[in-house]
Amino acid sequence: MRKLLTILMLFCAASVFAQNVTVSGTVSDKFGPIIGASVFVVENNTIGVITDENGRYSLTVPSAENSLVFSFIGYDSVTEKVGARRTINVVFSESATRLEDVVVIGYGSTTVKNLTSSVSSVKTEDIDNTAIASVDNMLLGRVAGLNMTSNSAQPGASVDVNIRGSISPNGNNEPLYVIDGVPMTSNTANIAGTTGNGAASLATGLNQSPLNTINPSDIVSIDVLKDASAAAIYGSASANGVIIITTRRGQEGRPRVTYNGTYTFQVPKPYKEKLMDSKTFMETHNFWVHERVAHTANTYPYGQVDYNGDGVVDVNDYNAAFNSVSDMFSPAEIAAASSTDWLDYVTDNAYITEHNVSMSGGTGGTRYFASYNYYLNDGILKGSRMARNSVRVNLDQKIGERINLGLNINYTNINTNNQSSGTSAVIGIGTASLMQNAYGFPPFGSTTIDPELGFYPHAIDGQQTNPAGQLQITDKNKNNRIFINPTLTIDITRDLNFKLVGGYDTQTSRRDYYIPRITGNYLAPNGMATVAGQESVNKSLEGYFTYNKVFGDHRLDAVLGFGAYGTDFRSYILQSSNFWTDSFVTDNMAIGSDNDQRYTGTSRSEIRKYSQFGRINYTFKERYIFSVTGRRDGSSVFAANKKWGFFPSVSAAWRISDEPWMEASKGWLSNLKLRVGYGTSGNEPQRANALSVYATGEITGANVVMPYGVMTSGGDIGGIQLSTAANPNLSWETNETVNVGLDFGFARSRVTGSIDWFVRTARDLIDYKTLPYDQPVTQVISNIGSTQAKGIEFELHSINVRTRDFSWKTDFNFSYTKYRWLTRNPELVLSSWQSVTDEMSAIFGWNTDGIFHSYDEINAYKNSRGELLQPKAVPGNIRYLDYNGDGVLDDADNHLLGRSTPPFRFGFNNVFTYKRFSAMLYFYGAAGHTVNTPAQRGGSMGGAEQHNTFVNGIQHIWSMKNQQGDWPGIGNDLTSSTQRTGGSNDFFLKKIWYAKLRNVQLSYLIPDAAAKAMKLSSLAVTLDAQNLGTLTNFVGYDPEMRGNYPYPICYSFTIGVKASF
Amino acid sequence: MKKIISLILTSSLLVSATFSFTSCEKALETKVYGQIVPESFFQTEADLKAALTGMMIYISGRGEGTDYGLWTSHWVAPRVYGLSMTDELYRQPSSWSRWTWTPSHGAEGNGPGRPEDNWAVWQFNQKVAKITALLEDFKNCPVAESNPELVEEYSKQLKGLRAFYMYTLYEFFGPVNTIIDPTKLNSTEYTPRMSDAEYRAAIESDYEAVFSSKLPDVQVGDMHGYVSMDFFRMCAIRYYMATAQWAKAEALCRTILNSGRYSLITAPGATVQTADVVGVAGGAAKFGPEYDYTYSPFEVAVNTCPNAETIFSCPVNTNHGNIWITEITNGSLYYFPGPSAGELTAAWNMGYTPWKHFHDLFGYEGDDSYDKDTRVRQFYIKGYNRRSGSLMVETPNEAAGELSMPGAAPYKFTNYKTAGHSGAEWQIEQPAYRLSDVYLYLAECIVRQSGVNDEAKKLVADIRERAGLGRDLTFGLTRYYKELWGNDPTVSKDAFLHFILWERGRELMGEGQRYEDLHRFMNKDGSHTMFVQRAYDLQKISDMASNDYRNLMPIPHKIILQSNGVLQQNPGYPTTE
Repeated sequence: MRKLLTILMLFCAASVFAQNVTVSGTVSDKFGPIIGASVFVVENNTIGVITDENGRYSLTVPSAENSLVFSFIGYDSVTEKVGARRTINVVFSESATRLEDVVVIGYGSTTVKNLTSSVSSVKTEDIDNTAIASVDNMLLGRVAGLNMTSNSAQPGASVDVNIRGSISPNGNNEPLYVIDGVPMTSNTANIAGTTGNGAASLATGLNQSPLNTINPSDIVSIDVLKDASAAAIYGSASANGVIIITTRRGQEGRPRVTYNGTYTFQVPKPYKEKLMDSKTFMETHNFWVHERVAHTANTYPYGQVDYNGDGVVDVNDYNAAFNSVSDMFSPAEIAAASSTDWLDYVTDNAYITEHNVSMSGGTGGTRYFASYNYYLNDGILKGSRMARNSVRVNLDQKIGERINLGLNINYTNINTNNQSSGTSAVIGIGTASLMQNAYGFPPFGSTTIDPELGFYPHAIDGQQTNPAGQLQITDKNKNNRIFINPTLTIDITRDLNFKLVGGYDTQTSRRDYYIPRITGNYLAPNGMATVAGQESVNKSLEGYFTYNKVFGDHRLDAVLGFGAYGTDFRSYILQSSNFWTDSFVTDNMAIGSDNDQRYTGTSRSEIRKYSQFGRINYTFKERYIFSVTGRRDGSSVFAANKKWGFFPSVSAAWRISDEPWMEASKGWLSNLKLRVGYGTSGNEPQRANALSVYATGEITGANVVMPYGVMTSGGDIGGIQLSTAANPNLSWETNETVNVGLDFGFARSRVTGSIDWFVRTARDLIDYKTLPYDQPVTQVISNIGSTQAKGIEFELHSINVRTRDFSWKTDFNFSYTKYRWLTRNPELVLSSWQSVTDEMSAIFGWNTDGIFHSYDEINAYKNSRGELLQPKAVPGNIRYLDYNGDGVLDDADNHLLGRSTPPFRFGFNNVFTYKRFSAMLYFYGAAGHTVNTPAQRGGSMGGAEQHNTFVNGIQHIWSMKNQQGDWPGIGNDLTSSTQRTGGSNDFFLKKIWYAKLRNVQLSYLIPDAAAKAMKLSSLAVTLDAQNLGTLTNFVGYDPEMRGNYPYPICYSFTIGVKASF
Repeated sequence: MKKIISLILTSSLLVSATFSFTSCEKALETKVYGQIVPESFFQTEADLKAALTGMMIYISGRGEGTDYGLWTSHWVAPRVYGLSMTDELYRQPSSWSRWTWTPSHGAEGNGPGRPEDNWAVWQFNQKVAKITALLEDFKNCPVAESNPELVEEYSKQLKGLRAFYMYTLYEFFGPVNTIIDPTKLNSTEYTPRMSDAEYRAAIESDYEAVFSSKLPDVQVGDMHGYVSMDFFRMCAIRYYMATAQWAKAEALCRTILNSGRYSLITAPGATVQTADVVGVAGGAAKFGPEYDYTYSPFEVAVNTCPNAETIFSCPVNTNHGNIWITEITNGSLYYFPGPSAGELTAAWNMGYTPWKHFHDLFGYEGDDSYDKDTRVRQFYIKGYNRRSGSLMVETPNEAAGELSMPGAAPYKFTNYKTAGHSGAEWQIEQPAYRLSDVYLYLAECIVRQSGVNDEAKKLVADIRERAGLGRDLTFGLTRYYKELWGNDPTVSKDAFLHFILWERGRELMGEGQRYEDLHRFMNKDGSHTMFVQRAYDLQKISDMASNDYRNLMPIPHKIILQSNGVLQQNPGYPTTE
């Protein structure tokens, strides 16, 4: 405490030290003066200035004995003793900084130069300061091989993250996150009940990013350990790579206070698919009611029933059937109907405000960094919102010469209001999401409560909730996380030290969900309240020795350590139904009068793990680098005789460019290093264990159990059933990675980069072995099969132009990865067109060539022998191509149509500076995958469903009245259903690529004089536009969003201010 | 230097302490919370009871997903062919592939159609295995020593349940490969199908076991769903009927009939004003042909279940409602009374029951019997107002803006026709076994063994009189019946048996018996079952001889493949996908 006071006093007193000597001069590089270089006194770094537009500075120092440090990003710092001089000019020479950049690896750090494995490092100073909710959003497209797909634009929504592919079909595919040295055990799903489709959440909520609780501004660097030779030191949890996050720490010297604030305005991106107005909708509906009667009657052209009994099946039968029913909507109803564009109705402009204050500094052995962050995003979908308050204090204290104590405390409070999006149920079911209903609710539906009914009325389908009513649902989430992370470092000798890292991470969350009576949800007509909560506590303790020693040409770095980890998880859920008033929301659940629908549930789980690990790095002549790691893990998840596993790795690097015989090429080839690595790491099963258990009920959703009890009027009688068969041999999945990489740097490191080739193999996949269907349970969890990812990653960083006023830097990364099966579960019956080693996301099926518009076309479609290729087709059916040319359409014509996972991904960033302006253009994208175009949404519904509101449906779907239609009609596709057993077709499939312009940013550094006038040491203003555009061949709403009915995407415009004091 | 030494000591101590503790295997034991590890279970009587209850829930229909038990046996399985109601009314699920009634449908195992219904029945195999495993656990548990009587009693009850599952499998697939031998448990190999004799002997021995148990004859108190001895008697009657063991079935029928525990409901119910009911918010409903009328005794019997006539019914509460309503009604009737008073719920838009087929067999509007047979009136409303205001009726007056109603809307097992319909309709239980069933079974047993006699005639007449048709057995015969058998059902044994078949069709519509009934009866020339005959009549198959194999359902293809040649598919069905 006293230390803190001292710091504060120092901070206040900093300006009082004015004294004796005034030094001035210029700072420049070979192109000319440098603006904004920092100059401060070594002995008292509270005294410092920044160079002006002309690179000039002037500083009063306490004494001529002091030294000055000149520094600027991208150059090695220069230290000059003042002595007798009163003018000190400094010319920076370019440095090979990238090679000396520190890279954090497990239980230690190294430099880019000495890395032996594939690690990508992202420094946050390279990343813009726009309003970003979470770290994962920050990383999108930044690292080759770090595959991220953002699934929802909802505030705080998570990003799907995997490193070098999801190759564990049933296991975990998320990387391990390590924050300030503490592995975050099971840090996903920590927000109660936001996913799943159980009773707790009548609509799918939001997958909150587990990284939301970390303020992106607190982060100084993120290191991604991509291959197992790097990750193996994290053992059984590191199969999917490791992401190491390091937060800021105080630096000895002048206190720095920084304020960073942004305001973002968000506008919904217009939908490409137009919805019908009421008139069109009702007329279309009327038409399809008639058309379906003809179809149902199995008469012309859909079947061979002689509907009118005149002895021939022809268009007269169709007409008779068509006219046999009356319209669904009368002309009067059509004329009277008003229209609502429900997508427009549920969305609104939105904003984000963010304020971030941090201070850091240190003196006398104490260093501190403290920050406060407030983030508020009022979402595009009405009622969706995320607010975060986060506080971090990172303290470091030196005790004597040998002991360092550290303490990091992070408190985060997140409050969100969720709105449902995505496909959570069949559209038209009470559990459908708001977005589903916004798409599929009839446009004539009322936007107001029906006073007689007491709720927002339904339209056609009594199960479909009115979107206006759905907006009345309360769905709030509160999440509190406290993360305490003490460290103790003891320098036992100059070369040997010991570090103890503790972690205590507790998260509690509570979700309040209330469907009011006025919503008119048919599943909960009288209101339903759910409260669900979770508490997770992760405790960890790791201790390790590090030994670093140089003996002549030899250097040895070694780590030896242990760890103990525990995760305790508890959850509860309460549910109550039938409220006579909406006024209590979830605050008085006792009044829910339906005893049968009252529900309570609790759950608990516990995992313990112990580990021992070590690493030896040996470097010879700074050119030959070898590394060996090993980790032994014991986990309570596995069976008694399979608890312990060992995960070794070896890797080596050869710095070719440092060889004496390469001296001649130093001029152009500043760096060339070859890396080779092999390692293994593990993957634990999720929610499974090796024991045989009896369950008390069937789990139907998140935590919701349907008891195996018999219902009686006097209460239920409890029951149990065998639910899981034991597998005493269940073990972890093993990942093996072989990685070969080449790092290079040209033209004195103006162009640097790396290229990596890897093969990642997952063995002993955790899967289910099917038991015969006359056994008590159907399956037993086992280790079966293996998969493989192979790929190439390429990163390039270049300084394209650097002149006195102008510079242009480019960062480019690119990856190509393919995933395939090596061996599969032998019980899996493969279709004739499949093979054991197919790609994991392969899509098989038939090729198509439009549709048949008439029987003439069907009868003209013959093979070389003159036989009809699709004898069972009716007009409106898809025309399939005889792929193998054997004259018949059958299973043999199925072939690979594409893959659903993009093999290509890239990120492309450009930074331009001109004097005090800087600009950034950042793209990322993916290519080579095959997706359904959203057109299918209209098509698959046959145009006749009551939930089809798409204008394109009327225009494109074939019917007797729209014979020009080019999408399949409603006639049964007997060709597809009888001539083969499965597979897809490519009618609506398209191979796509996209490049998203994620950021366009412009910053301006206010002139020093102006900043000084405001008592600031620097002030920058930033304008940023996000998601401005997408270059793509995809025709729908957004090529990145998977699934239908996504949370609406928005264009964001941010103005930001960053001020330092 | 001292400092350094003490530092080294301290840190080494720390490290060695933690290392020794990491080697402690005890701490790495798997912990299971919220579930039961068998090693520590089956210690008390309550534990055994819980295990028994866990197997009983399927009977009560409380299970979720595919675990419907009685539901599967009575309704879900026969719905493959629309037989949950009658042999005429077919389903057309709009949200799945569209299909019409045909015995070939879903036949190809994992092919198109509704194979999951076959699958649902097939899963009874697992329940049989679970019971076999439990019987074994019971035998070896500590309670077996301390209280052998209890273990024996519970074991008998479990065997009764096993007989029920095995019979349902048998009715569907013929003898299969259930595990009744505990030594075959936990094998990764399939066992071959049992022979017919073995399989039947196993069922019969299990029934004998449960009949020697102390199960109460009726559900004790209000413990719906907890099975009774009479439930097992009814299950056994079904089995004996299906296997032509008429004397055994007759004896059980008489046990129930003479017990005095149940009586036919013959008193009419309340007079209802139909205008009050369906579509409270959207306007009045039209019921036809009468608007205001008195609830008939038959309607009381099926729409107020459970009652004096109910032997066993599927229990419901507001959480697990009577899902028959939403399962079976046609899609254009969107609103039905919902779980709570005054609320409306929606039909699932799945059932599609065309008038034409209904009329041809059961409707016979215009016949003398039409207004009188309240069982037929039970089956549909003739029109209703939609929420939008337009009227949907059978024969629309289009000029007046009326719309065509594509199907019937049954209101059996509901009371939404009752004035004020309190909302309890969701909670009307679906009868699985009623006394009417016993009357007709007994009549059939008698005729099968000794021809038409007065007792058989009386039993059928009792049912017809209650339905409003009077005691004249020649009154109100269906056209289908008359064309084949003439106007007097009592002239011959076969004529009377088929007369019973059509009486069962009307009396037990929707009660899940039709599929078995059609299997039990042969057509007029005795060449094929009525099941195959009806498929032919309805032009779902083109000839009968080559379709006899459809009397048994195909075993799901997936199973055949998995068994790797051990399990044989029922003859006639394709052996490849």
